[in-house]
Amino acid sequence: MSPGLGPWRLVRRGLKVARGTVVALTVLAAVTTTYLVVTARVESRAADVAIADTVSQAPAQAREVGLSALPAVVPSRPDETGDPREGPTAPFEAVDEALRDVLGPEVVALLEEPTWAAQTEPLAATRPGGEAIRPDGTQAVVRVQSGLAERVEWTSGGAPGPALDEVRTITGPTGAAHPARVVPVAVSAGTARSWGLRVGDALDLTPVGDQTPMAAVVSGVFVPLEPTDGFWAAEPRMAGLAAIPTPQGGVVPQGALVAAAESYGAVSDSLWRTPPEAEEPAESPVLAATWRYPLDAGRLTQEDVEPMRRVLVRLATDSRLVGLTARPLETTTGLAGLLDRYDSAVAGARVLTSFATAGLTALAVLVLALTAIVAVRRRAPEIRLLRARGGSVRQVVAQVGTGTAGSTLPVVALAAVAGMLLVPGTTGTDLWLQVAAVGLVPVLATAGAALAQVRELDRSDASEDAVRQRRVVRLARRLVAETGVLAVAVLAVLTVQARGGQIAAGRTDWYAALTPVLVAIAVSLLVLRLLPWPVRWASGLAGRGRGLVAFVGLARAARTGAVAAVPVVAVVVGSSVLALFAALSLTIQDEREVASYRAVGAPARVDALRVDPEDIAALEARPGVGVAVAAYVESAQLVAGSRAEPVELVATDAAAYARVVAGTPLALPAVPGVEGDPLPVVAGALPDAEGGVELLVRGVRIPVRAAALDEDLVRDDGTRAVPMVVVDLARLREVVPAAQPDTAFLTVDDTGAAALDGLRDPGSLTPSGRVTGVATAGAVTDRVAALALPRLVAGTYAVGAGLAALLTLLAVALLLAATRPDRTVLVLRLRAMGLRDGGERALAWAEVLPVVAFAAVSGALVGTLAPRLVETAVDLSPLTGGLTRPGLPPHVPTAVGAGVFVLVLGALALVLDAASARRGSLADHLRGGDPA
Amino acid sequence: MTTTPTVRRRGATADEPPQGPDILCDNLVRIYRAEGIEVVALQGLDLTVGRGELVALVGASGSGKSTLLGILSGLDTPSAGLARVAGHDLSTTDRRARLEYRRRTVGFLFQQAGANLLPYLTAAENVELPMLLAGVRRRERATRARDTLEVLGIAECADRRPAELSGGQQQRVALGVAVANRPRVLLADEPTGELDTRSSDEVFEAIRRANSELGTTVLVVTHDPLVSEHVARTVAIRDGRTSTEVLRRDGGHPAEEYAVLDRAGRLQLPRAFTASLQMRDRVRLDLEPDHIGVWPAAPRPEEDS
Repeated sequence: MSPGLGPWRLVRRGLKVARGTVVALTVLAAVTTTYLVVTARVESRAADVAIADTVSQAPAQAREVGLSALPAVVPSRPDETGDPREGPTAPFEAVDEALRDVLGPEVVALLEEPTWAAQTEPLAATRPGGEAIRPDGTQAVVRVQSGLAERVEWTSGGAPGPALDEVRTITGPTGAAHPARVVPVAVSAGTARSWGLRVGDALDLTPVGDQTPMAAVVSGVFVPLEPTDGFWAAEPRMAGLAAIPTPQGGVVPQGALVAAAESYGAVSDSLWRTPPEAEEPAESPVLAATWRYPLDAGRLTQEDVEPMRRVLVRLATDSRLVGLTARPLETTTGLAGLLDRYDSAVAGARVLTSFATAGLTALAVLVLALTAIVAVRRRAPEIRLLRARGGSVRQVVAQVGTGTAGSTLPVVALAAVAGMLLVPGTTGTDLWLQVAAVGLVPVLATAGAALAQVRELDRSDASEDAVRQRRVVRLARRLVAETGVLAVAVLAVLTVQARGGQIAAGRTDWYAALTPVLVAIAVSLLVLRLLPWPVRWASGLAGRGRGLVAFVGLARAARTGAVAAVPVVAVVVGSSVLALFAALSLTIQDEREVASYRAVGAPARVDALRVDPEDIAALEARPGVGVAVAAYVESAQLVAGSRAEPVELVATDAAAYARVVAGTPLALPAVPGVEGDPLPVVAGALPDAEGGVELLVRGVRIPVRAAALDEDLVRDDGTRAVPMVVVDLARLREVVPAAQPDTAFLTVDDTGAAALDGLRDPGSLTPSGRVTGVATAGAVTDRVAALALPRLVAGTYAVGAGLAALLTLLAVALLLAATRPDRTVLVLRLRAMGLRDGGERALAWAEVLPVVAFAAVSGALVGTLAPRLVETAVDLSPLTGGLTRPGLPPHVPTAVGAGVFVLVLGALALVLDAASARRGSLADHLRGGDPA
Repeated sequence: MTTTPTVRRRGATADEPPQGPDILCDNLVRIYRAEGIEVVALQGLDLTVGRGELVALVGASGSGKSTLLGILSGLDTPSAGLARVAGHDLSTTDRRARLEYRRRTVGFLFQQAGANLLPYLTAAENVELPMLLAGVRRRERATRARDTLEVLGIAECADRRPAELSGGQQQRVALGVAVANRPRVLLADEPTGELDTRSSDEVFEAIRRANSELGTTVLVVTHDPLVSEHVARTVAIRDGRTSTEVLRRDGGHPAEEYAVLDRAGRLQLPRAFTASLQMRDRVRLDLEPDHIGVWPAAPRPEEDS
């Protein structure tokens, strides 16, 4: 004898019988829960990485706290001939201590090692005796700098030390002999090469104005270890020569001579020596001091955002930073903007992932409920038997509910715990609501379905009144449900449109996140109402022919009852979720490409001090490069009356440039001519003014007229997006002779782009070596795509799409399972009437596929239009790298693709169902008359 | 009124409900409504089954047998009339009372053996199931299940699943399930309908044993002449009413067939009788001192002569 039947044994045995359904439910619940938990955790991790991304992508000055103090003002003239003195004391340490105090340990822990510097105005550099270093004029700033040695590799010599005791007498601008201590300086390899300097070379540095000259000696020549380090961005002349434009249109090369921080007093004393009768000033009257406190991007997490915001407030108001220097300290930081951009990026990504998780949760809940309902329907005989044997409603519901969906809750809990253990990150409370829904819905659906079965069994009042009452109740219930869903969907759309701005700014609104799903459910109710009409019509058509199976199948499809309702809703929702994911993913991809072209201006761009024809020829000769065109690119303004709009001017051979950008988002609608006045331009926008429009470039106003306008012609310089104005370079130079080509736009193939992206020394690109930078649209696209938040959204959507496809497939399979009993009975009858072999499979196709097709097309349409409904709440710009908020236009090919894909899923489900039926019991086949 | 023969009752105990017939149907009506069409399945049915009786219920398909059993088992409710089983008035009982009634007062045996048993439980566990639902303690459940299977002659099947049993064994286990809670009344809906002759015999023997050894009143719906010929009383239903009864007495007496006269004085004449005398539409009645004569509407022979 067995050990005896107890409630748990009964449940366990029931579990074994329904193991197919139980496995489906638990796997589905576990996968969905894992997806939700992992997405939330990955999202929190991505938010941590995103702050690092935002900080590391920003210009150096924006990602650091910087302080600066102008030179002290002294009333007297310098002592030109007196003996050298110690000079003023550097303010570096005092300010550093105060600033650390203000920042507090929490923020100080996020900083890299700070550096400080003090710098002169440009000085004329000559060899002792006044011999020019180069014939084109050479200027240098002397920069007293900390932290140099850690960031360079010495090609010769070594780090500059403190000022030497050696005194050299230099004749100053006034003719007086000025004794000055020799200050050791380091110079970059590029500058040393250009100026022909070597270690040990002496330099005289003569200022403009009433300052006195100073003496320097080259102690070392270096190359930067990491040229992109913000250290060099603080003073690019340290790393190499800079071309400083002159008002006459020429350029003067300037370099920096880097002295040790200990030389602060000596440098200041050389350039401005305090007269013997005057008191030594507390600070240098010739050196402007700066302090850099760069953030270490690798240490930042989203939790640091709030402390940093508080610090930004303190920096502006804290009295501890007052009175430390002779002239007030100025704080320079772009952190506020960075943090705003970060918040906006995270909010945008959260809105997008919320669409994915909410859509997936809703779809999973529907399919889980559907699976539970189908499972309970299969256990109908068991329910009848339990009820007949005296099982109470509670006992029957508990037995069937626990035996079918009882394992879901613990599995969901386990999946959640596993997800939390395996993926680091944090989780919000919203997540647990979703997880609870996934865990509880199968249990509630099973219990509800079991209860409905019991009620159906117990319903014995067949009087006319009772029947009429039940019909009225059923009708009323359906109407109320449909009206309720419609109302909720409409409210959701209105809510998104009303609160779109707040949601895009970071407000989490699950109601809004569910909008696409709610609209899809509302549409699915419409589908259920409308479906019978076209299918009945098709059935009528089939009936006129000789296709019995098509006629019967379509006729049955036209009578989609309550059994098919949930699967149809699930297919519509699944199809809409797939279309929504695809539409948003494609829009992000498209807009990322647009943003990269707006940033680069062409498939590839080469920036240089000047671009000559031989440079263009050299660029075109490179493998993988097609057309190259020289251009003068400058920030300009379009002036209309009293209004001035900033624009990006691209003066070039317009016809050649049109060939370069043909087929890209910057394709020119027309080529501006070279003849006629005013100057013809092709522009992104042109102000409308009666008095005409003028282009203001380098202080020159040029009347212009629009040869063509295209609002997509926009350039993005990293801080703002402005309309682009394309003019003919030759025509421009007639009016602005200083407009020299400084950019080359190229067409490149993949090889050419890869070669340009991998270039370590841009100077080697052209014979002149004047290239300062290279950018390709592909590299910009790839860089943005590799950031944490775009990767998060792409990953969430890719996995979500897979899950949605699986759920939709399951929904169709369940639709087949739900309608199978009736179909089997029909097949038995049709077989008696001579139904051909395989007719039952054809019947299933004819019955189910039209329903799936109708639902798939409806869902795909909803998914394609849904982005438009939630447009106000979605800002894709942080994910595209663009600065303007792109629209979310409907993507018709996406709708078609999603619809076809769901139809294919439906066909796959039918094939799987047929294969599964072939593996049925022999008795079933014999009963059905199947010779298989 | 139907006649009620006296039967023995071995299983009678001291704590029994009030005396009276175990099954009493008086003018029982059940109307179904399907897709706008009303079907009167029972139209004033009268039936009385005394305690401990074993009665067969026969009738053509659609005559109302299964409907009657559904009502008596508490799975369905009458539209009108009285249905009382072991003192429970099934027209007025609420859900809770009906549940208790199903648990303790009646046992039900469906026609399909598979429909009586949960396929994932062993025979013994299936028998325990009603006891579990009724809240019987674990130890008592096991003991009573074993006893029940022994009484029914299938103790060796205790640990087998239904799929491992023959049809007859399945139906006997199902009988064990039906009587597990020692109900006063057992209702069986064509229990031998799907069985071969030998299995039918075994099942019917088991039913008879449940009737005699457990003292259960049994009402068996059957088409099986083997069954109906082996019970003391067979009630025939026609068009939703009891029409005739056949009583068989021990001692080699031939079976006697009775027509049922309801309280309103209605009488159903056997169709064979009316057909052979071509009685249609109207008959003529004559009251004699010791009987009532029923004549075709045509003139009587002596009147003609």
